Amino acid sequence: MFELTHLNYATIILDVSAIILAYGMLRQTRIMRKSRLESDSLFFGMLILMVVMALSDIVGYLTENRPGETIINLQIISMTVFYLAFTVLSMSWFDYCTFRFKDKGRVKKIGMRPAFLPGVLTFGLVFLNQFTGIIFSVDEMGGYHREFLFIPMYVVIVAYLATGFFYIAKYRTSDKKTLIPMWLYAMPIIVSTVITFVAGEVSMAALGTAITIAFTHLGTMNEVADLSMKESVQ
Amino acid sequence: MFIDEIHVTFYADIAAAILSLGVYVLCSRGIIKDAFLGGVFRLLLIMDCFLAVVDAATYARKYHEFPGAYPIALGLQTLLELVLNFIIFLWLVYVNYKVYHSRDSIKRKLIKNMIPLFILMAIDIINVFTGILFYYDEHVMYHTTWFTIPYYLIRYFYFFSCVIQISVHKRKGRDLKFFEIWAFIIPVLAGGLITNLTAYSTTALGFAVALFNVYAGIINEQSFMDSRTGFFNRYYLRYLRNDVDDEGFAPKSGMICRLEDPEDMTAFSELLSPLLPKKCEVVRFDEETVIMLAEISKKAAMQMMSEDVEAAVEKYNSENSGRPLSVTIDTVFKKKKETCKGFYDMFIRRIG
Repeated sequence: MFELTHLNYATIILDVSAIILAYGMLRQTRIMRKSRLESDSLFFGMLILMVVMALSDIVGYLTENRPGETIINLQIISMTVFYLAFTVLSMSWFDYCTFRFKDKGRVKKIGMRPAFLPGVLTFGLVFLNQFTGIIFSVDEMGGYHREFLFIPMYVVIVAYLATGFFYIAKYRTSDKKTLIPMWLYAMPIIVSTVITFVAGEVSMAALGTAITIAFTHLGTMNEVADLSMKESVQ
Repeated sequence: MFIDEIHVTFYADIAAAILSLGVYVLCSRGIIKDAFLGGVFRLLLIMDCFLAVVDAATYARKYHEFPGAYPIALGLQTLLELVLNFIIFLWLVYVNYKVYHSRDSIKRKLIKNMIPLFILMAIDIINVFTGILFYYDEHVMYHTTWFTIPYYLIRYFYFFSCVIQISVHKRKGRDLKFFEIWAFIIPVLAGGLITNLTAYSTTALGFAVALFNVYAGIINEQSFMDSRTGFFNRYYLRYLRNDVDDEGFAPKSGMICRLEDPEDMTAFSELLSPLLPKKCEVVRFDEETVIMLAEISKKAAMQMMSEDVEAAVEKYNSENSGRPLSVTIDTVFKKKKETCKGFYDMFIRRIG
């Protein structure tokens, strides 16, 4: 039977909460998914990636500090999947904000751009970490350690997230009723990223991301509700 | 210095406060049309935020002994229980209004709904003087008594009475679109069980996730539902077109109902609702038109349905001779080689 520390429980509870939140959003957005718009595809992709992050995070914490080759390999794989998903999610967030806020849907196709180069590079380095241990490593007792490329990886991820927030901040319409304040977008992910980075033993990354995505979705739905009220018969 | 287990509660409460506060800011922008429902919902969010703060304070005090620790601990824990019971009461008021859309209904059932609340709150107050439910020892450590079992049973039963309300409503053939009771219950139940069975407190987080789900449902309802009839609104048609195909919802026939007097729309919708087939989409197209798309391929079946609607209107008119309904019904059928999307487009053009 696994022995878990209190902080392992913390991470598991927070990650499960993130998954429940994501499931709630997926259920509530059934109708939106019928539209199959480009930005909606990105949004749902982000939800799925967030669930992958939460699940791999749970596995990572369950296997931490446990010796044994199989367990250690499982930990390495789960944390690799976590950081891969986080990298792709940050790029998707940047793409989503570019499409929805900066270009206001004018761009026909979302896809690879030069701006994605740092993200693609980071993705490659995370993948190669399994063989090189340059971002994180796991010792023979199952202990997790951050290596010299850990901070640069986080800088790339945060840069994509921050640029997306910057586009949201610049987005202005005449109808401020439906716009949500900037701090509502930024606070969950900033608080959770700081706690994860500083505390180390507790991961709030998945839940913070889930809450930010939740607020973004609700902001979009507020605009849809406002438009619907104007267009529909009363 | 924090003990590790307190971290769990702290992070959960931080997340709960952020989520509740965020949803509060979102729904304070006048998006919720119904003022009473919006008011109750915002109060639920504020109370959940308050619950998170009190909960965090309770856990912050844990393991610390200082002058005044005992009354502070007792006061905080009592406040926690009172707030939680009040949140459950507010939720029941919300569900009641959601089901009946009537403040009179709430007033009629208020005393009945408040009896368990009074019992629970009375126990909380009595506990301050007697320690019947929980108490603190000489080291200001929290202990529960056997009485917490019936207390929690009353609380859980009180909470689950909302499911009974919804079930009764659904048995009368009425469906609440976009209001999924389990989207609220599951997170709250998960948070409550973790709190009751472990050393961690996740109640506030459970409520926060649940309230987020409810708000998403409210916004969906306001975006896509017509408040007068309970059918989908015209804005929903944007999404309906993408839904019709040969693998998903495959309409084979449709009905267009045009009212002579738009004021009769509410009465007509109440006549039509019980007659609708299981797999259909009904939209209030404009002030006087309601359309229905169904997977009924047999002309005889559709004809029968059309006759049922006419019979219901006739019956209504005989009972309300002072204000009779006048409806024209037109049925449309998909051609054999026509695709579902082609039929949909033709149907919409036919409405005019």
